[in-house]
Amino acid sequence: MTASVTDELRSGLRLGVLPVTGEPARLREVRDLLAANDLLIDEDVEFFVTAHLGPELVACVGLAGSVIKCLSAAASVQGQGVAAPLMQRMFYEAVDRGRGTLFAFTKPCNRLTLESLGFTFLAEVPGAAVLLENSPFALELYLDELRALREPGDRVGAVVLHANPFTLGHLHLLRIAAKQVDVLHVFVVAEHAPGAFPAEVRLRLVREGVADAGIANIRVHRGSRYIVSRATFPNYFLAKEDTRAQAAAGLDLQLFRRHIGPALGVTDRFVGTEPLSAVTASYNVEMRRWLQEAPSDSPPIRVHEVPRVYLDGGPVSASRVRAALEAGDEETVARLVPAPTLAHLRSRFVSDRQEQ
Amino acid sequence: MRITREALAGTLESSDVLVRVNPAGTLKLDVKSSVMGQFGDDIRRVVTDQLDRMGVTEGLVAACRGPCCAAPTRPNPIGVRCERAQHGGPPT
Repeated sequence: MTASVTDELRSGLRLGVLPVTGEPARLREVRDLLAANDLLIDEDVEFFVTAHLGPELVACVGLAGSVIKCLSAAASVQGQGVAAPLMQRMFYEAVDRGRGTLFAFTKPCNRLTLESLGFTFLAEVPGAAVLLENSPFALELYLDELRALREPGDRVGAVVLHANPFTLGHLHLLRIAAKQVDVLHVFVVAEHAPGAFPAEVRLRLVREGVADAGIANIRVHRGSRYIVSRATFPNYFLAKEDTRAQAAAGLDLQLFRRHIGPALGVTDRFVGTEPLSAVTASYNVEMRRWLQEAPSDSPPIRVHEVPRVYLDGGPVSASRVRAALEAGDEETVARLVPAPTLAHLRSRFVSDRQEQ
Repeated sequence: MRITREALAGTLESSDVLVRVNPAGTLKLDVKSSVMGQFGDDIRRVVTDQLDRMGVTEGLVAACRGPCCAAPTRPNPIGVRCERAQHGGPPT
């Protein structure tokens, strides 16, 4: 599929595909249309489907992984059915790339339009953002999987970890949390962020670390597209700090409160205090708001912030481990991580030395 | 017959339907339409009949009839869409 492919529609609308590496002049058109709707080109968008009426760009929508975003239409065509051909073309472009099940991350004013095009509503932060999915089955099937993992208990805890990689700080959090509940479900973020340890490695090191520590009531699960993923919490992966970070965190947390938590019977969620990362710190504030305080049809989930453990005056964190790794400081790494993580990292040290 | 791969067929234009199929261990059908009240049952029956004819027993089938707009109506193409979706065909 090239950037020049276009379809002539009955209405005179011309549809096309524009990669973000495309012609600067055409990208400028997209940028201007987005700006007119107070939007920017997110850095993870790969391509846009564009709709022209005569020479004018009247609508566009972008795809980032499996997330449709940057949906925008000129005021002159709003309410005239431009979204249907635009979105239909996007569906075909995405399925050609092996991505059939898509999220849409957009402004709340687009919700009804997208629902009329087959999207299912997932969550909304009023006045900021709405998240939908183009499958009526995907979330429900995932919740069925979770219900199968449900275990009895008056208090059921949950923790979501990126664990990049699993540290003694994470282990401390899990130990404190596990003591307060009958069973603790730990989700390891499944999304792969550039430069991060692969999801399979992160998951394995959490499993091995928990087993090594002998904490019996912890169940470690792979995360999903509904838990701190590019769709539910894009800013975590874009590593940028703007007002939409709050909106995005609200989507992720509402999905947890309304769907994921109830499927597992979660009563309590635990999180480490965040002294260093502003994005994560703001996520913790939003967590209390959306899981515990905001009015909802779903029961509140109590939020517990567990103080970080400190070593040599600084918090034990995965970013500190990564910095020590970067500096080749094996001794510091050894003091920050549990044995299975260290064994994995040592194998990397060894292979690095062999390469040198 | 089982649906073995994700596929899409049809359009969101008026009087047409966009069908999406996915592999799954069970058979699930969902029909969405902006004219659900008037034609929802009809659309559902046409899709169900077509799945029966094709002997589809496992898979997810989501059919969305596009929003109404001023466009010429066409003969009901839903059955054709279901068949094309199963074979991963392009829109016709």
